[in-house]
Amino acid sequence: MKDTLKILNQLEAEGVLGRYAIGGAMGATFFVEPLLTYDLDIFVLLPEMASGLLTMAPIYSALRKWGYTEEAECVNIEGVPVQFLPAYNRLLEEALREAIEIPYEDVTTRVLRAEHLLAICLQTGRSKDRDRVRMLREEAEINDDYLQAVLERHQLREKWNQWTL
Amino acid sequence: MDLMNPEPASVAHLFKAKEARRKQLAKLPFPDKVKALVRLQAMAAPVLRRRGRNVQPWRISGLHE
Repeated sequence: MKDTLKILNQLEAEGVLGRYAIGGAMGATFFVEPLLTYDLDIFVLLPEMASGLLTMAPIYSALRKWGYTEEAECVNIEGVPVQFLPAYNRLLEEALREAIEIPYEDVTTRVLRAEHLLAICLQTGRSKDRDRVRMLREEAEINDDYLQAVLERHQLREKWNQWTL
Repeated sequence: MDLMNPEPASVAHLFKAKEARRKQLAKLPFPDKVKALVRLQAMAAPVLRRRGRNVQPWRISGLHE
């Protein structure tokens, strides 16, 4: 996976994407037991175009030039299907800004904080997100004060209470 | 222990052991978790394909030599 991460770092260094971090099941796997998934969810802050619109086209275009092909909604980068997800709301933007740098072998990458992964699960609200909230609570080290502040800022306290009490 | 008719206490012991194992797995270094994930993908793929899902275990360097 480090070769995949090197390419993501290159996309960021060349300004094709603004900032990225690992989320989804792989993000959660950083904090809990390995979770079965077949793609790597990468949240991205997109550079704004002159028109003010946000688009992922430059990412796909750059990857195609480098020889990486699309497979359905993912791009296969060095053997790993990568799904790019734009940060389309305030919670995701905050999660990306606060993402933590981690070493992966001799490459540096970023992963969303466990507290933000929890909040994103609450916001998304599927059954599997509810299960992921349970796993993160049971297995990850969660900073409760930080989490409560995130829940408060993004109006997720009620959902948290519904799912956890 | 009679596996066909396990006593509640022994099943509880098994569940506790599973929970402890999961917490242990949570503490693995991230690259080791990725290796475990790829093995998991390979184990699950035939089952998922029989259910009509088109899945492919990751082919990442260092794991398929």
